[in-house]
Amino acid sequence: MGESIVITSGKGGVGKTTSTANISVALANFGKKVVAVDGDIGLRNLDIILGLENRIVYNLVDVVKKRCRTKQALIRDKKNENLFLLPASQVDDKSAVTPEDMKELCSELKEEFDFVIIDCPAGIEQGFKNALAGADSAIVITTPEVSPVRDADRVIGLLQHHEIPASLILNRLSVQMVERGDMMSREDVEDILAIKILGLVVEDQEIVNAGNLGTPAVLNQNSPAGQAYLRIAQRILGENVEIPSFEEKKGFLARLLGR
Amino acid sequence: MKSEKPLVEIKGFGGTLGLLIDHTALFDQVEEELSQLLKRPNSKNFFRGAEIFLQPEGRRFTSEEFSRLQTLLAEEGALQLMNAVAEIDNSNKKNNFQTSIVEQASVVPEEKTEIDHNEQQPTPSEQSSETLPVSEDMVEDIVEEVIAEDSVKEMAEESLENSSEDSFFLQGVDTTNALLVRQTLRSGQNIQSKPSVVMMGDLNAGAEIVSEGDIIVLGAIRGMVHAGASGNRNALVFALRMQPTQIRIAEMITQPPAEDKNFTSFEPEVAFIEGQSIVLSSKDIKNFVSK
Ligand SMILES: Nc1ncnc2c1ncn2[C@@H]1O[C@H](COP(=O)(O)OP(=O)(O)OP(=O)(O)O)[C@@H](O)[C@H]1O
Ligand SMILES: [Mg+2]
Repeated sequence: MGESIVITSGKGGVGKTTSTANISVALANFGKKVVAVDGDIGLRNLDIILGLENRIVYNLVDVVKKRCRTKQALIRDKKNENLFLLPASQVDDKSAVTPEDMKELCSELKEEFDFVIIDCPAGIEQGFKNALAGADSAIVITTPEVSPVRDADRVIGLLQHHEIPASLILNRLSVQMVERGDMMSREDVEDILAIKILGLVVEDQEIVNAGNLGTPAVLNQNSPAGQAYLRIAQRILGENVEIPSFEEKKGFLARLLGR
Repeated sequence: MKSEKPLVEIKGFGGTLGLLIDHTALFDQVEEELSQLLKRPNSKNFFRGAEIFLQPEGRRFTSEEFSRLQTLLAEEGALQLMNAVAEIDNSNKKNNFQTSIVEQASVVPEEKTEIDHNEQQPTPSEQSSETLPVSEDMVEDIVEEVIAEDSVKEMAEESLENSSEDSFFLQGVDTTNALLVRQTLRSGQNIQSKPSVVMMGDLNAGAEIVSEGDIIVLGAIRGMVHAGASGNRNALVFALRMQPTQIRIAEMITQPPAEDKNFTSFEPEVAFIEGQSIVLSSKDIKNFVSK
């Protein structure tokens, strides 16, 4: 029996789809059988990030409406045979699916896969409730800014209400900005949100390039953000991998620069 | 459907400006109409620097909505919005907090469901469930139990070992019960309580506690608290870390000065009414006992 994890944030554009793609690829690379489920119905993206857009035949709505068998809608990744995508529908809207549908779908997928990673839409309405319904746990994404953190706080409250355990990824950290005091630090965010940190991901141009290319950055040795997602996947697998702190990096840089 | 009467009106009320907002207006409409109104030619010059008072007979707002209106008026109309009938100069007070006397009815939801000593069934206020759909049982999760005064005393004493001698705030804890909340109160969550509230955990920005008694937070206050909500001017607010967006006691409101957004205090502080303003102090804790 596999495990289902929803990737959520409240605030839009903070990196849910990016995280879903990278975590899914990383887990598959560690030999796990993974399905990435695009829960953002009507605004699908995950297929593009994974570079599988042109292979879509059926989608999640077709599956829950029984217009096809689940297997028919699953798309196997080009590079990794452990990884599958269940794409969202671009033409339906969120009301096409109910939380009960999602529960049923997730338990079916968990029979077959080690991990079911669900990309949640922004907001806290219907699409959010659907994405949550079948999840055993949640990863909340935030960037270190006031309003994403406020929304993450709101989402964590809702997750607790649904008794879904959550951990946090702090995305798009910029060392320079934290040092300048223009950005909330890890400690500031931890202090407010008071949940376990699963990982820190730095601002990284490679994420943007990878998104355009359809090859997630986690495969790129030279991408610090990609490497961070690799460590995040290891932590999900229960390995004890330390979170490199900025302070150390700062100290290292400072030493290099002779400051 | 658009009513004949405008939803948002600015009127003169005996020498002051008043902002009157229709009861039935949705918040989006209010924002929209207000910014239209302010965008009219000459508005800005005409109103510049003036104070405008939210009329109590109009629509009521949650604290978040109110501060959004404040921002809108400040930006578009160069107006200073008061939820008030009079403002008091308390520039000599600690922290330079701005205090104003408010028309109670305009900030406290009248139809709120209160926690009965026997019932223990808190419900989110109607106003906040309008903006942020919190399900009712969510607050039940948060509220653990109503405890007897004795255990409040015990707990308070425990947590304040370093305050020596008398536990200063106990005398303010009225009634025979208090509501014990043992968790972080997050954005969108709120508690309405008749008895005093003792909270172990942080009250985050976007969360609210309204109590007719005292509010004691053994953690940080980052959101809005309203103590003595039914008019008890002796009520107080205590926190180990005061970073509130707003403190209300009885009919008074205070908020950190706008230019000091990052105002924080790392010392335990108590907020109470002194004369015509809300005072925040870490030093007066002892004085408070002797009052
Ligand atoms: N660590 C990062 N460094 C640089 N850019 C990033 C990083 N993380 C995400 N981005 C960029 O931010 C944008 C939004 O990311 P993404 O689509 O993953 O967010 P989302 O939360 O899924 O958005 P939505 O709410 O619209 O679904 C993308 O252009 C992505 O490339
Ligand atoms: Mg997305």
